Amino acid sequence: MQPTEIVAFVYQISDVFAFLVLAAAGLAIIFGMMGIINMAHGEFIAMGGYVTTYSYHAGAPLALAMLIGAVACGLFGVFLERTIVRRFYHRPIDSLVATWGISLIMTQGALLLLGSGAPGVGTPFGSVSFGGASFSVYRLVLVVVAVAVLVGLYLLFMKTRFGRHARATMQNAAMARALGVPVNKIYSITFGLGAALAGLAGGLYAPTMTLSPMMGTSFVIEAFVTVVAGGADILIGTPPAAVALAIIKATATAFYGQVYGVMSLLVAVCLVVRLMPDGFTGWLIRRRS
Amino acid sequence: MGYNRWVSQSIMKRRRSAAGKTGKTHTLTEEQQTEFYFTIGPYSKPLLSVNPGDRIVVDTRDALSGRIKTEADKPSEKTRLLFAHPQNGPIIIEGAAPDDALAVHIEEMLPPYPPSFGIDRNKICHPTPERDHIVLDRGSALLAQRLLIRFCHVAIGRSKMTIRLCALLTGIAAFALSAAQAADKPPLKIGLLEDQSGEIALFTLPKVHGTQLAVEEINKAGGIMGRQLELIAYDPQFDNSKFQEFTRRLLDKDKVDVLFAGATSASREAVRPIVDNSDVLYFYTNQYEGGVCDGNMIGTGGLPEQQFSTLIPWMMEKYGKKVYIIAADYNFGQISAEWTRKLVVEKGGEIVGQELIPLGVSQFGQTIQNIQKAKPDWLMSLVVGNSQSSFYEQAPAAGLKIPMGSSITIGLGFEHKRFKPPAMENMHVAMNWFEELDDPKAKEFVARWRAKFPNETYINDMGQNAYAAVYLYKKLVEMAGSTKLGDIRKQIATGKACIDAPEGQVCIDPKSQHVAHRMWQISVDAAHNVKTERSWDRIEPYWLGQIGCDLTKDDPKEQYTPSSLPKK
Repeated sequence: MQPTEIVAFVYQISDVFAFLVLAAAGLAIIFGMMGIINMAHGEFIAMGGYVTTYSYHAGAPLALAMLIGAVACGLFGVFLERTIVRRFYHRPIDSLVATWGISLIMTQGALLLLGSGAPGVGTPFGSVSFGGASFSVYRLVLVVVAVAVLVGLYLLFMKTRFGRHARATMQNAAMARALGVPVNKIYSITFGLGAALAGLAGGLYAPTMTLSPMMGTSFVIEAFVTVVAGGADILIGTPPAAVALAIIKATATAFYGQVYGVMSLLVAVCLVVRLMPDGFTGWLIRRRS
Repeated sequence: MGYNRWVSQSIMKRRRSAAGKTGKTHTLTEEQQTEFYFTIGPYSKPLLSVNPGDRIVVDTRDALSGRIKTEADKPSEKTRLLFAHPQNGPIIIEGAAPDDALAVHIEEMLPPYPPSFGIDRNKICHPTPERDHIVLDRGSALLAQRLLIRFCHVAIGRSKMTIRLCALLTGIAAFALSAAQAADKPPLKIGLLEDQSGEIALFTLPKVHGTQLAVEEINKAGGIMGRQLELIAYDPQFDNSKFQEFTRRLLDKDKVDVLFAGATSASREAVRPIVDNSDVLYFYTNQYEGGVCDGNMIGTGGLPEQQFSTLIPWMMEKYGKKVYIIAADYNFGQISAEWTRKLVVEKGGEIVGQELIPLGVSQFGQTIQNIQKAKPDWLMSLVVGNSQSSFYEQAPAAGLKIPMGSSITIGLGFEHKRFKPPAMENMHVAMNWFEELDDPKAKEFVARWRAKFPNETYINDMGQNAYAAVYLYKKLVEMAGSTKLGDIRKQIATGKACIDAPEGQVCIDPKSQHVAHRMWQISVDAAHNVKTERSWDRIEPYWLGQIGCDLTKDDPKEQYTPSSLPKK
């Protein structure tokens, strides 16, 4: 392969990697912490996209608008957790139905209040050329942001008191509560964090897509696939899963087109579920011990 | 096995004051226990004193102190329920002091033999006697033969409530414009099935609005042959199975006189077999890939011979002969791609690449790369839906600046209103309607529409088509003097079924039951202004007649494509 092709290939893999990480981060945290499958994940992403776009059109600079979007989703997530989600912590199937109900309410509510679409935000930063192919600079920025999110989560969970409490709660909630960790508050904050990450993903990708109440659905398959492949631990499981799936999807799309790209992702997750039922997390933990 | 390894490495073993050595083994039998206590507190004297590391074998009693000996024993009679869960001990550990942690490792638990009885408290919701019993057997627990399991009524109530709630949420949004006029003439029922939510609702909502506007205008003017129009609409939400379900409902339950349904070709093909089994007229008002030869259907949208045969030769002459196609991966995209291939190759051009894209895909990084690698002269873009239209945002962001052609952008998808300039620069489309049309009748129609729907983002071609189709139906019914399909088709066969739509005059072609259009070929500039390059007063839907479809003679109810022609 020529150098241009290698660069292009690496760029594509990084692009898909960033998309998978950003789409899955919120879902992985909520699933890893509480065992809850948040079916409203796509709707948090859409909400982040909407808040970002409206903030931007109201005058905020784009980066600030994205932060506003993330924070708004985080607060809304905390609110939802307090009112609805916390009643379902030991009922995984019921939590599926409850969060699906939330997602329906959010989608149709947005449709009723905001209509089917909204004027978008242009993609910032322009493009850069290399050997006959050109690449969007913004998508390289997204790769950097995805890595930053992973690093930030590592620092949060490993180096802060909150992170220690959160990990204790993940391991053994009853024991953590007996030792004085405010477990309910940890759950609220974690759900809010997961929602905020979903909102951030929506805000980051809003400039590259059409805005609509259903825009979350184009993230949901990739997010779920990455979380299934990664397993419950976002720090151990999600990065290798995202890298592996990105390579698979980019290769399939490069040689055979989009149909095979999506198919390859789904075939890959079928294999992962069969060979490594706990995802990369379980596999790496077993290898370590 | 693995468990003992865990025990031997646990904190309990590593840090305990017995330093890993096992001490004496004590027993605490029922005789030694004599009396059982039921609370933890300083009220009882210690019975046994052990050292750290010792083992104790304890005879425990079941929760009801062994008073239930047979299934006939009633807990309400034999037990005093507050005095339940008798405790063994107290056992003192020598050397233990406040702030120490006590680790107790349970080695083994054996049920007694003969078995004794107890009650599973979880199975009791209310403190009533004689719920159920669990028999303990050596090595396993047996549920008694006659088992009474009661779940708390609250849970059932909750799930019932959930079901009711779900039913409300998935309810259908049905609305009907009631007939305001005299009740002597029954209303004409118009069935409408267009997405009001979902992947393409942004584009199909104008269809609903256009139909509503037409129905309102016609009703104000006295209706059709004195009968008011009653609009019955459902929202299929981009779900083809809902399209089918609602079609059956409209035909069988609501008994509509005419059906306007479907934007995507997939939904049309889902609905058409159902309508074909009835004698209801079906209007399909979207541009599409053409080829449907079906007596129940009138197609009023643009066709390949009107949109592609005009645009493609011009694009090839202006920009070059190497073409790349991207298309949505369903029947419309596939067949439109087939048409593009046919026309490009006929004119001596070459398809340098083609990619079919599943609906709902929104990330086009690799696709853009593939296009750049193939170095086409121009791109035929047939992407459909909200997610796929992200392509028009991502392509210029990635630096892909290439002339584009389409049959569905601008006029149908109004991307020039949705994306920031210059995303749609150099896009070329041939279509029968766009809102910017510089024509007095068109402008007056736009004004009327925006008076009723001031927040409409754009009046696209399918919106105008939907509006015009209602008037077309009115003309047909008035010509035939009846709403019966057979009478209407006789009028179509005369070739005189024409109306003056906002786009201009449209007439139904007898052979194909599709519509001749005024066509405009437009291009978009860097500021997203729309400029007319060429126009045609009238392009007939000639292709179906050319290949042998003649609905005045017979009714095959088939769809034909360039590669799937009628058998001679």
